[in-house]
Amino acid sequence: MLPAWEGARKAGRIARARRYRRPTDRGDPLSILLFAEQMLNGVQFGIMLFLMAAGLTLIFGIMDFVNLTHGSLYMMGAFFGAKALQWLLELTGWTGSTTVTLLFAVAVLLGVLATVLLGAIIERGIFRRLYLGSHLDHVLATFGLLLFFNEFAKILFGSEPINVPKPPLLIAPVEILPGINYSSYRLAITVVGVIVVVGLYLLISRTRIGMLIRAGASNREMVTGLGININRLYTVVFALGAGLAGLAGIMTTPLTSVQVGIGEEIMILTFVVIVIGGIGSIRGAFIASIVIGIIDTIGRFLLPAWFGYTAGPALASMAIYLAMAAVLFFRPSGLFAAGRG
Amino acid sequence: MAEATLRIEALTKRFGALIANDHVDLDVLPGELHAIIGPNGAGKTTLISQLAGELAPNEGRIIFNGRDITHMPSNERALMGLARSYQITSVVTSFTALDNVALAAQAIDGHSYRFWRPARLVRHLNDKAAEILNEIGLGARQNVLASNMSHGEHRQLEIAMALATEPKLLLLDEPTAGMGPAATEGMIGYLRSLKGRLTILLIEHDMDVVFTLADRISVLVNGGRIATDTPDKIREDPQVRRAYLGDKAVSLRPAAKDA
Amino acid sequence: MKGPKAFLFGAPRFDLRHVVVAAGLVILLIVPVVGDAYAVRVASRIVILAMIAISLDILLGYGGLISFGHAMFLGSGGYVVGVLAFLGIQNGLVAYPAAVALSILLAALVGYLVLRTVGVYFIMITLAFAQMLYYVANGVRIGENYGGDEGLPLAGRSPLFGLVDFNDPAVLHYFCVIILAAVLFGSYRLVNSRFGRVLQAAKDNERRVRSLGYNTFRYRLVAFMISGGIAGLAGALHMNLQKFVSPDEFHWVISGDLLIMVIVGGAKSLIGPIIGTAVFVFLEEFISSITEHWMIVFGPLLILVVMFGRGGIYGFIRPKRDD
Repeated sequence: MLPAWEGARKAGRIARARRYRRPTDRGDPLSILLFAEQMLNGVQFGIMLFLMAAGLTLIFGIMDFVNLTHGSLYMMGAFFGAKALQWLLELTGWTGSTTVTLLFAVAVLLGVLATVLLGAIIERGIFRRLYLGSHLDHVLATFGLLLFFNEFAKILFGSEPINVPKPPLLIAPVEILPGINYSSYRLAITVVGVIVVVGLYLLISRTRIGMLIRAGASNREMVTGLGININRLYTVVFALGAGLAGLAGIMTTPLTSVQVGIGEEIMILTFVVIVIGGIGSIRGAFIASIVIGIIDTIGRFLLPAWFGYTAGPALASMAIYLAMAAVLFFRPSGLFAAGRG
Repeated sequence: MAEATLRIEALTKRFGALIANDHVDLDVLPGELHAIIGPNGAGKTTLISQLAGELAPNEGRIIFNGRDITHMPSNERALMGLARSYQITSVVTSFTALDNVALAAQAIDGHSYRFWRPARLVRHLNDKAAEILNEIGLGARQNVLASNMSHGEHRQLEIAMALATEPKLLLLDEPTAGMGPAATEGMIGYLRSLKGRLTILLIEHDMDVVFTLADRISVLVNGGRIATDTPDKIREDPQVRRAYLGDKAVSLRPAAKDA
Repeated sequence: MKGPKAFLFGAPRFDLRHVVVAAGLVILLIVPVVGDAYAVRVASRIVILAMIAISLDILLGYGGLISFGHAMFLGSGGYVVGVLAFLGIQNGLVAYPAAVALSILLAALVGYLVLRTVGVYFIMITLAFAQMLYYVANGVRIGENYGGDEGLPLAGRSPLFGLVDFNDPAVLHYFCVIILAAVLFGSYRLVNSRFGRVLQAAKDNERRVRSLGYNTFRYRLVAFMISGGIAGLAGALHMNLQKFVSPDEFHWVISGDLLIMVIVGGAKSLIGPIIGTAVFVFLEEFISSITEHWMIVFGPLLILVVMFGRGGIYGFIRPKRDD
C-alpha cells in the first residue's frame, strides 16, 4: 500500500539506531558514567527538538497556521547542508582538518540560508493564501507539500542515504570533567543550539522585530495600523522557523544520515513536545523538549538493558507516547498551558 | 420572604491586579425581574460568566435554588434550570431557527443518545419550538437559516432557545444591545409577558428597558455593588446618581404603573 | 425523510449526483463479472476504504473533529483478525465482532485522552497516538515467526456461516458492498438523528451547546467510538482481502490519505467520501504503475484542491442551492 514509504520507514529505523549507541560496547550498561553520557545526549537531542518546536510554536502562535511541512524543512536543510559540504570539498579540494572543519561550518551556514530561502518561497507562494482557511485546510495543504517534498528530494538527491562525516576537529572526544569524555561534536552542536535559543529569546523579548512578532500574535489589525507590513512579518517569522528546522537538520546529520523521510519522525516528536509543553507556551516547549529528549535517549539506553533487545526498543519508542498519554490524562492542556511564556 | 432563587455571596473575581468583581452580594427573588446596571467595566459580564459557569470565581459562592453551584460545570447548571443569552449572540448558524430552538428543547428531553430516528421527525420537539418562536414573533422565519437572520432576530432566537429549556432562572446579557427603537419596544413587550412566569436576571444599558420592566435594580460600580432597590428608590439614590445615572444624559420615563 | 429517499438525497429532481451514484453502483456490482482478479481486488479495496472514509466523515464533516489518526482503527481491526487467527480462531462470527468491539474500546481509550484537547492539538495528538500504535505493532512479536515489522498473515479468509466461501474474491467483494451499503445507511440515520443534531451543533458552536445543558465531551466520545467501530470493521475486512496486516496500516500517512479521500470527495456528505476514495485509489494504482514519482503530481494537486476546491467532488456535482 505504501511503496513510497518503504524507504521512509527504513530511514527512520536506521536513524533511530544510529542516534543511540548501544551499551554493549561499553561494558557494564548501568555505570554512572554511561548514564551521565546518555543524559547529555538526551539534552543535546532535546535542544535539537526545541529548535523544531520553537519554530512550529512561533508559526502557529503568530499565523495560527498548522505546518506539517516542518519536518520536510528539517530534511531539506540536512540535504542542503550535505550537498553544500560535498560541493565545497570538491570546489576547494582542501583536506586539512582545520580547513575541512571550516568548510563544514560554512556548509551549515549555506544550508540554513537555503532553508530560510525555501521557507520564504513556500510561505509567499502557497501558505500565505491559506491563512484565512481552516486548520483542516492547513493540514491538508502542508501534507500535500510534504508528500511533494519527499518525492522532490528523492529525485534531486537520490534515494540512497548520504553519510556526512563529522568535522575532523570534532571527532576526538573532549574531556569535560577529569576522566569523563564526551563526544566533542555533540557538545559543539549543543552549544550552538543553546546560543541559538538564547539568541531567539533575546530577539523575541528585546528587539523591535520581536515586539512586532509578539504583537502580531495578539493583534493583527493593530500591527497593520502601525504601518507595518504584516505579510512581510509573517514571511520573516516563517523563514525564521524554517531556518531553525534546517539548522537542527544539518547539525544532526553526522549523527544519523541524510535520507528522505528523516523529517517525519522528528516532526511527530515535536508535536508531542508542543502538546506536552502546553498550548502556546515557548517556555513549556523548552522544558518539554529537554524532558522528552532525555526520556527518549535514556529509554533507548535503559529499556533494552532491562527488558532485552526484543521488547526494549519497542518500549523505548513507546515511552514518549506513554508520557504524553499520562500528561494528557492529568493536564489536558499541557503542563504550562494558557498563554504564558 | 421567599427563599431566593439565586443567591450570590461575596463573589470575587480577579484578573491579575484588576478586581472585576469585588465581594458582590446579590439575591434574586423568585418571579422577579431583577436588573443589573452599571457603567462599562463595572463587572457585569464577568458576573454573568461566573453565574453561567464559564469563569471560575476566586472567592465567594453561588447558590441556585438552595444548591451550591459555584464549581458546577456549565452544562450541569443548564440542566438545573439556569439558562442564559449571550451579549454577543451565539446561535448555531448552520441550523434553521426551528432547529436551534428544537435543539434547546431536546436538551431537557432526556438523553440524546438516540441514533436512528431523524430529528426532524420528532414532533413534540418541533411543535414546542414552533410555539415558542411564534410567541416571540419569529414564527414566520422558523425555517430560515440562522446565518441569514438579522442581528435583532438572533437576539430573539437566543431568548427563544433559552426559554425552550424551561429555565428556572433566565440570565439575559444586554438583550436589546444594537437594536433599533421598534425592535426594543418589541423586546420590552415580550419580556413583560414573561414577567411572573419566570425569574429573570437582566443586564442592560438601556434605561428605558430597565426602568420599565425591573422589579428591583442592583447597581454595580467598579466591581462592587453599591445599591439594590426598587426603580423609584434607585432613581432617587444620590450615590447612584453620582456614580452612574447623573452622568448619563438619558431621559427616564416617569415610573409607569402598568407593569 | 423516509428510508428510500435517503439515496435520492431528498432532491426534487434527478441531478448529476444520482447519475454518479448509479454509475458507481453499477460498476461495483459488475466488476466481479467483467473484470479480472486484479480489478476485483481494487474494487474491493475501494469499498473497504470507503467505509473508513465514511466513518471519518462522521467525525470530521459532521462533528468538526479532525482526526489525523484514523488509520489506527484500520490497523486494530486487521490485527484482531490476525491475532485471533494465530490463536486458531478463524471463524468470522467471532473475528468480525471482536474486531469491532476492540476497535470501539481503543476509540474509547484514545478518545477519552484526546477529546479534551482542542483544535490543532487534537490533530497533533491523534497523529501521535496512531504512530504510537505503529511502534507497538512494530515491536511486539507474536510467536516465533510473526509480528513485528513483518506483520501477520491470514491463511484463509474468515468463514462466516460455513456456507459461503470467502476465498472467492467475488463473494468477498459482494459481502463488502453489502456492508458498505449498511454502513452508509446507518451513518445517514446517525447524522440526522437527535444524536447527530447535537454533534453537528457542537461543531458549529460548542459553547452554546454546552450552555444548553449538553455534555459535549461525552457526545463526541460516543461519536469517536462509533466511528472507530466502523473503521475497525473495515480493517477486519481489509485484512481478509489482503490476507495480511502489517504495522504500515497504522502509519500516519494512511491517516492523511483517509483525510484526503474525505475532503477531495466532499466532506459532510457521506457519499462524497466514497467518491473520494474511488478517485484516490484509482490514482494511486494506475498512476503509480506509470511512474514511481506520482506524489510529485499528487502533492501539488492536493494543495490546489484545498486552495480552490470548495466542497470537493460532491460539492461540484450537487446542484447549486437556491434559498
